Amino acid sequence: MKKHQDQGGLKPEYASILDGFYRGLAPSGLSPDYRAETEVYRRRSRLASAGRLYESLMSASGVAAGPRVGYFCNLVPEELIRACGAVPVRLCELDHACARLGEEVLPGDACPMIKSICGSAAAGRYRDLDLLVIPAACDGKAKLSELLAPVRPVYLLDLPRSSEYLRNADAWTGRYQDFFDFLKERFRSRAGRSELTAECRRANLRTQLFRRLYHFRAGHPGLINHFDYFTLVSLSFRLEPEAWLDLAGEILAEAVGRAEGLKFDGRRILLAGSPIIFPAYKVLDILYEFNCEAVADSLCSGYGHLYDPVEIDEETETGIIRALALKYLAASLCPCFMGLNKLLDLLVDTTAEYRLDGVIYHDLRLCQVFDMQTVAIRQVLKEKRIPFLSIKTDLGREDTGQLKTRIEAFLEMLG
Amino acid sequence: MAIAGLDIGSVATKCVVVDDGRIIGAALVRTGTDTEKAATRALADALQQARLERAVLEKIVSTGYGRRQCGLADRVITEISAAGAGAFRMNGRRPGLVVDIGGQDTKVIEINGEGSVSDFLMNDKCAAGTGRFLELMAQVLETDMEGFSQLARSAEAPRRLNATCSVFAESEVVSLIAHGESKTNIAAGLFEAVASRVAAMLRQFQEQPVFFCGGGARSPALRLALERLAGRPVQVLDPPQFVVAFGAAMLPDGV
Amino acid sequence: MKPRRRITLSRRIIQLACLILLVYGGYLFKGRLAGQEANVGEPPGTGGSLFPDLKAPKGAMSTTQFAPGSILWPSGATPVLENYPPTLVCRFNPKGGLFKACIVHFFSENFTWQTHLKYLLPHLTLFVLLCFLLGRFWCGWVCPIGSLGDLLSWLRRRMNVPVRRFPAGFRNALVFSSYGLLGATLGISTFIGLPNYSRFQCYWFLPYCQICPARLVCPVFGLIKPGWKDFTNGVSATFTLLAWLVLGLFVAAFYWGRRVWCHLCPVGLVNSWFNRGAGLELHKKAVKCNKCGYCADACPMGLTAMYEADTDRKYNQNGCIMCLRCLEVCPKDGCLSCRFFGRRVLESRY
Ligand code: SF4
Repeated sequence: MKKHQDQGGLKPEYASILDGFYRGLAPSGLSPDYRAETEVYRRRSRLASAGRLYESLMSASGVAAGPRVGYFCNLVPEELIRACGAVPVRLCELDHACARLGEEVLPGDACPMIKSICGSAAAGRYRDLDLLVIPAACDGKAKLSELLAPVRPVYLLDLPRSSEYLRNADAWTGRYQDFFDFLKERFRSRAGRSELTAECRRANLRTQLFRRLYHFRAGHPGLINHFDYFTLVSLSFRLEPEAWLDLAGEILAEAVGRAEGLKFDGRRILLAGSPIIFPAYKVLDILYEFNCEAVADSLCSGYGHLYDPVEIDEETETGIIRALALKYLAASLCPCFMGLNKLLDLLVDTTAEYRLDGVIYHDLRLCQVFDMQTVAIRQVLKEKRIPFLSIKTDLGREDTGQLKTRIEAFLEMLG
Repeated sequence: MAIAGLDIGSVATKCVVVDDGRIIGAALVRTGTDTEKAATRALADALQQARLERAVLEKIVSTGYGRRQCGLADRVITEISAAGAGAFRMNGRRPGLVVDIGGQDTKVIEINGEGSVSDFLMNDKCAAGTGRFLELMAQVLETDMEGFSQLARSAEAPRRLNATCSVFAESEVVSLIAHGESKTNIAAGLFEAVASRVAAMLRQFQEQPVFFCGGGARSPALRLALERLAGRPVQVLDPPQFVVAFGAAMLPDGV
Repeated sequence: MKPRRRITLSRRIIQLACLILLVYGGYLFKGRLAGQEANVGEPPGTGGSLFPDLKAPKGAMSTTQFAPGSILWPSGATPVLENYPPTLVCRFNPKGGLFKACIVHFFSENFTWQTHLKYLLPHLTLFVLLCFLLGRFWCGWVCPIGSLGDLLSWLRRRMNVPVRRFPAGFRNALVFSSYGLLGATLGISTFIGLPNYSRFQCYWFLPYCQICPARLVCPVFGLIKPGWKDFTNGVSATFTLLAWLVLGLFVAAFYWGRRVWCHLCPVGLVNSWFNRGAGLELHKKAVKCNKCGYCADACPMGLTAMYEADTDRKYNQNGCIMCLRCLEVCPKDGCLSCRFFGRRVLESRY
């Protein structure tokens, strides 16, 4: 068996220098407190079971015990991590305070998420993790694999950056297989296909429930509002599938029970673009204010994280790993993975299927790849007569007034 | 019955009183820090010009950046819908693209044959490419907006500027002057810089007649630069600053 | 694994049923259909038939001229029905078999016999009709040899051996070779049917059948003496060796790659000509596709057109064996659908 090294690390000497610098940045650590936000969104929810939802944001229950593997982006197969007996935690976050700290490490014009992650890391929030897995999705993430190396051991999941199945399926499978071998060695696991199959099944159960919830929201807008929805998805970043199923199941059941005769007089839109993760709900807040619901989305922190199932065709180990690669990479909508065709298809198809009023493109300033495709989307949707608004923003709240003008004008335009 | 349209912009607050589709009173005051006060003053001035009492107004519609900070209004709409409606009314009910260069932002609004907005684009958060940018640059060139426009019109070879941000543009202008570049060429270059941004926004839409309004439309140099860079005729709506306020007043009874 | 493995499940059931029916069905229906007991030693051509006129002409090479137990007539028994379904049922298994043989056998035999077209027509019509209804459906759902191959693939999967995916170029080469095989078969069959060359018939009769893997496999299932080692002379020895070689290929093809064999099979080839016009159609609604590639990955024939397709239309390809795996694995609701003469009968649903 190959000897696996931590990829993407730094030499111990350099790492400790950088580590010293980080420790100096936030000597007392940084622990953002979201209690106030949680309370606001809990009150906005129309469901009684949302109480538990927002509580879980603050508590650690529902998270399995075991070595914890932090990862970024939904390009890292959770199933592989779980199969090896470790607990995957998706660390993607959008926190203003952390991002500000991150600016002391990174240039100010780096992507807010990268800054936020880097700030969190510098503040020592990742020190209790056993491993960090960073996919080379965008340049920022790839570089993080070095900058975070002083904090925890890092595995750089280097992936060919095109979601073209025909060309890359073998390469992806190889990379995932390496990753799996690495995990097995690191966590002294002898996981094989039965563990993998079991984990895929768990993940698929979650996908099934998520799909029901997703379709339900389109048909009964506002009942499970977009805050509840995105909070649920954010929670799936770290909850065990069963705990998540329990939570989401309760919410869906309550909503289904109350769906009868419910009227919604606002606007239903599809939210596309950069991720939205609790507590960065600025755009959602504005939509809410104007009685507009994001009932569908294409975000990697929403639809992209939970909609696609693993479809095991060959129940061999390689076959399962390949199926995972297809789920996470071929179907990926990430702009880094050249998913523009798929994204456009999704926008056109979903707006037609659910008869949505339009598409709002959330463009997180400084994330180049999202920004770069705006014009293309705009032109295509215009041709297809789908109202489209792109809003460029960041984590701060200073531009709320401007965003309101844009969104309100967009809604006025819809008539 | 008369209706008042209040356009509370970031720089100036504009008010028009409209009766039967005609402007019978208009006023413009600096917004300053107290939106409420500026709005009240603008309204009073406009009413005075129209020789009307406040009580006879059917309603007051507010729009613009400070539209929600003003307690006077009976109805609030965004400046985008208002600009669309106003431009449509003023241009003889023709569909087209409305370019509105205001103090803080620049918009391109597409209006369809029914006079409603069918699409729009706004510049980003930063001030480059807005009226405010031009005002700043006029200060750097030690002149006012009118003089600035004059300068630009007598330029021989507009000097291209590289900086896209107002802060950097300022230092670039200063260093150009120090290197002996003529103010006229710099002025023309600055107008081109703004116009090229707007032209790029215009190109996102299909070829249609272009109407120009907002404070920026008062500068003939900007219009000419825009015409050249966009490669299509640009018609300035008159009076350009009141288009939005007028549109706000016109919206309630349908376009 | 999933709530909807129903297509594959039904396919397995049908495959098993067909395997039993085609290989042992004769025991069930003998007598009832043919109106007579099977007589060992009685030459073919006397069994029951829907179209009883198809007989070997006098003096032509026919199975009768082989001694019972010889390689080309190992069972020495009559099939129940002297008909040729569009899929592989074998002359090497007529003892309990329901039909006489497959369509390639039909062509080879009658080309040698120079049978008059009017006798062929009823068989051909039936064949063409079935193929127009269902296309190459037979390969995926009925063919017993294919089913056995699927069993091999299943075995491989159980043993955790990853599948080999062959490049399109390789598969095309196989299809190309299958044209060669079919061409050679028909050429030889015609040639030995010419009056002056009938002396070659003894050894060159049914050339493809003599190397078909079914020659070695079917007798086992038919519980008859296998013609495994016929080394009578140079020609038959060559054929026997070739048959073993081909069987090896067959096993390898099915073991490492799923149904790679089917690209080479001339029976499949003949069926494949009807795919594009068949009543059974596969459609794709391209805008729903998320390009996950599951359909291409699951296709036992290694076809990728479903994945690649970017416009909404029918996607019936020659290679498709209508197993509907793509439709089954597609995770996007309503993306792929199966229609029968324009009517939607199935669609992908997660
Ligand atoms: S399985 Fe369905 S969604 Fe995936 S590539 Fe094939 S047709 Fe597209």
